[in-house]
Amino acid sequence: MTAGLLIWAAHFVGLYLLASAADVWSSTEAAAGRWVGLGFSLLCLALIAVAAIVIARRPVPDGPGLWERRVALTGAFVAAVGVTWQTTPLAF
Amino acid sequence: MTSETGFDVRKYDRFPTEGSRPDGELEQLEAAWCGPRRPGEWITAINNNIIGVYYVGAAMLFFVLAGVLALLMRTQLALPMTGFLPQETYNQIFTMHGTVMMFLFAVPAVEALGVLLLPQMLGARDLPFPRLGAYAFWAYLIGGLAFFCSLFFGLAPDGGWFMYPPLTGMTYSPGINADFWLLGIGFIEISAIAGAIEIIVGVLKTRAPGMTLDKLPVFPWAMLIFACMIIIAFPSVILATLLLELERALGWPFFDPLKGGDPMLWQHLFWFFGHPEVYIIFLPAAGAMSTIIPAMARTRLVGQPLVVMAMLATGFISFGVWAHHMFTTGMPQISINYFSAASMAVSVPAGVQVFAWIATIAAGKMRFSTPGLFAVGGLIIFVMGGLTGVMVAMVPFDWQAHDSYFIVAHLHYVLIGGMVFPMFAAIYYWLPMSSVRPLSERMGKWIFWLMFAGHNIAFMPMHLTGLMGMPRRVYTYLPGRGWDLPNFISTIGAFLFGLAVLLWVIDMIRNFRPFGPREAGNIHDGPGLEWLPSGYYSVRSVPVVKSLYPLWEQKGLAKEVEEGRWFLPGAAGGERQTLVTSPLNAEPQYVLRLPRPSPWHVFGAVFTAGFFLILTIQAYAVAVVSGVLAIYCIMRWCWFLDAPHNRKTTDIGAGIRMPNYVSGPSSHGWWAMVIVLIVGGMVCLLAGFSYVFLWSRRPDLWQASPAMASLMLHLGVLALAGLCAAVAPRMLRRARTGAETLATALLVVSAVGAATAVGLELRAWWSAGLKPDATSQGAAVFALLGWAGAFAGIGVLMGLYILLRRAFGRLSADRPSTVDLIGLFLAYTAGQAAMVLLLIRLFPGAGP
Repeated sequence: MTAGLLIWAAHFVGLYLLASAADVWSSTEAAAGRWVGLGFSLLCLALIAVAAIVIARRPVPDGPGLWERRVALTGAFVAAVGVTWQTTPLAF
Repeated sequence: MTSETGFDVRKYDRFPTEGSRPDGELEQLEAAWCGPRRPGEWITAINNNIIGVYYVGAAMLFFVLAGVLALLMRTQLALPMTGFLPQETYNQIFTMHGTVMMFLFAVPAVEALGVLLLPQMLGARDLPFPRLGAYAFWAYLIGGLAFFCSLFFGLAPDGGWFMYPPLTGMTYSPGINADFWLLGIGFIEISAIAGAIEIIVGVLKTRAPGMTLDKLPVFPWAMLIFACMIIIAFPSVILATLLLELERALGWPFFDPLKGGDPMLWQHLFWFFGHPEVYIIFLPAAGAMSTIIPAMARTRLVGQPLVVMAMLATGFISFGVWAHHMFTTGMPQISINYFSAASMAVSVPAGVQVFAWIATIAAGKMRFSTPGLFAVGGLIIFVMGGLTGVMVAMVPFDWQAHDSYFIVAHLHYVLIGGMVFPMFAAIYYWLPMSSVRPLSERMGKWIFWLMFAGHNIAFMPMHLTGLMGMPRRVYTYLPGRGWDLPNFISTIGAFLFGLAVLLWVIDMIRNFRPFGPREAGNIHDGPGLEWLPSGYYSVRSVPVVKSLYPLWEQKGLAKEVEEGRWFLPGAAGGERQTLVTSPLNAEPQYVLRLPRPSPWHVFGAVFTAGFFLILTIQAYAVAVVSGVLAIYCIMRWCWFLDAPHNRKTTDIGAGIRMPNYVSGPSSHGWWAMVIVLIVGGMVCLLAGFSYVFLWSRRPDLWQASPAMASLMLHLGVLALAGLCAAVAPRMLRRARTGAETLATALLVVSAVGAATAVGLELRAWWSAGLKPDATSQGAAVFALLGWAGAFAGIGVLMGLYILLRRAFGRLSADRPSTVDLIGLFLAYTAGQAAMVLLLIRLFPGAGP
């Protein structure tokens, strides 16, 4: 139910760690660091998509299962928007 | 619906039962759950109906005390160059105001609300660890009062509520004022974590049958997320306070740049806790709003799944915005940009909740009685605070507004709108549950309007004073800067707010009558289980929940519950019991025997508080004695747990029998231990982050690690310790002759092994010339090993405890929980120590 949100959390912690590592080893302004950040973001988006597809392709449950499925899919959607939004600083 | 546990949910159709209930059933239930009869029993009580009221009362006491401090500050700032408060006293007062509001009011108040309301909301008789809840309350009350009293001796902390070093290091804060904060707050956070464990296990394991996740009310959802956030966030402040206290007491240079430390580490650790703290405070209040608004509007909450998803999303993203408090510290620009984006993203889930509340108000027929007014007023104020939050999430604006009164205005709008108003709404809404009389509606409306006006008159002008350049925390200011008038207006507003709180206190004194023979009842026509007729035993019988709004949609439920026609209508064997259910579908699993009152948790809290507070005044021998007494009391408390049962099963109604004892992952104790270990793991993880962070500041000061051969030996010992811990429960379950002795021996070997390995590792580093007070590497390595050693030390105490249980015949193969839990703890201890060893040996580079 929280797969998308978990990946979102991993994404922003990961971006912070990548930026900090870039700051130690070279410079946060270096293009390489930004490409790694972009790659990481795409990976997270792909994982969210996989999670959403897995949830969506399961047989539609009834009762509480349906409710959990709705929350999970909405969470995955919000997470995808969040990851995309938080990747935009790489463009500047 | 697929069964989660194998329980046949068609058995729910047997309820409500028919026919008369057995004679004496209700009397037996009342006798098992009787309230205090002697004065001392009011202190040793553990029932949530009593502890919850104490807890809310104590939190509101601290709210009033911190509010008085705010009035003192506003009096000082009413006019320029006032001499009402000396500068030093002002520093102590603003520090105590922030600290008490954040640590002794906001978090405990919502936790208290959870302790008071959750059992009834979930249809449980009590939370699963009532003694732990009571211990958490007494520890909080004693620690909090002692901490507050430091103000009267001029010993209160004066470094601001977030206590940044180097200001709070020994150089600039040489007295013991800062130590009171560090040890006092660290201790109180432990109490908050104890409460969080109680809430998580309570919400996941003691819901009424049928209360699946979609039928779980929003308030328990919010409390569940709140408690999980505490488990993840609070270890950070515990670690931070430990590190700063180690630096102050022993000179370990975590934050001293001359020896490789960095004050920025404090800011990272503090705000990793501090920002989620805002949502930790907000989410339960939002849960209360999502409960109160539909009830007052007499309609279902619009978009309930979205609201739950938004609360989950808020919980997750709150851990990704900590550094937005640090935009001016010189972090890399790209990191600042990430945190700025994340901070703006928070407005999405918050907005979802706000729109759901507005839509619910629009869809229903809102009654603007006092709870309704406070709910809507809080919504308005919170939205205003949220808007300025988006402003300060923008880095260029934040650079201008940072540490100015604009921030003071912003944070008060968010916290008062997001927590204080909902708290008052909750008090006016739910108080009839616990009091013979409800609070006065007429006074309530006066209180609301005074508070609403007072808040805006006090804090709206602060936006202007901030934009005009007035820095926060100044004890006075010069005339002629344009700050005079807005400050004077703010002071008038603060006193109006104070008047509202005074009226509320008078209302409480006039009308609040707890622990009476009956309550005022469901005067708001609330839809939740908490409005069922109840006593100290909570509900007479535990219903099957078929709706999110059971009292609105399950007609006749209250009468059936009161007649004992649902689950667990009595107290078999005169025991206090509650039904434990599965975490997802809430299917009955077993009957949990709850403890009865005893003094040991109270003594434990007194001596634990004594240990921390006496450490502050550096009377180390007395502190150790207090600590030993605390351990003794806690061991006595645990001694009577995991006791044998007279019956293997209990009839929980309609001929359905459930076991009285379960061990392993299905048991509530196992869940609690796992949560404790997550807390330990978080501290260790953050200590590991601190280690790497400190290396990144001054790698030139770091020396090579000791010889690798010793690492292999130490890891080998830890592997053995972990193996013994993992095997012990299996040995016990084989139930062969001597199984108890073998399991005990394995656990003792595991504990001693882990302690030995950590001790050997410490010696290896010491021999290699690394000293904890010389460099940040030494401080970080010894802190990590200290943490692993603390776990090993607790493991040794557990080894002693299990030996004693074996010696007194309190171990048995048919009751393996004690061995399970100690085995789990020791296996974790060995694993954690191995991770620590690998980190400090292999990063940044291996030794010879």
